[in-house]
Amino acid sequence: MLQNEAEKTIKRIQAQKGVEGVIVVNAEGIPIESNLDHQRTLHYTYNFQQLLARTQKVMKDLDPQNEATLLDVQTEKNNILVSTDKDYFMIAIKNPREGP
Amino acid sequence: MAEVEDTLKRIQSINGVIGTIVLNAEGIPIRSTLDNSTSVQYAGLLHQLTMKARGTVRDIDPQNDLSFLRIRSKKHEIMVSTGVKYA
Repeated sequence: MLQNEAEKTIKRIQAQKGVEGVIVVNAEGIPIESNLDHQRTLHYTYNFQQLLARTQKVMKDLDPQNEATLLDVQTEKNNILVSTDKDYFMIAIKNPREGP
Repeated sequence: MAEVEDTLKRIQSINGVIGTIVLNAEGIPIRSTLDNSTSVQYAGLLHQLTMKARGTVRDIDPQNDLSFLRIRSKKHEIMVSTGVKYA
């Protein structure tokens, strides 16, 4: 039941205009869902997992009771959102020119 | 410098803003509305994180660059704007 809900949500986000890609990564750091090609998926997963880990460390250093829930990386070309909850995280790549 | 002061005042006067720090190119806080030790701590950690984020962006696409970084946490939100001279 829960898996179905999750899949529907992911598909809905992936179908949004302007969304270039969505990657869902599990607790082991393995991408379990992606609409990008394998190489790009791995590249993004590895890089953003590292950045997310670093971000969490910074947040814990500033306040041991706090932790990051969303990392919003805005670049000149696009927007990469890294959302995290417990052990999973999700990467969404958005193109600002199109979509909402 | 006046421009920096004006920007700082403007941001700090927005409802919900707890603190504003302006860093120079070396990551040293040159203006802040927070106390010195907090400013230095935030500046140090976030400057490093911003460098790492920039590196990540360039790694994925060498033609791209970081322009803004936003960290949403349970308690608050930290926003880092990367300018040419200041951050």
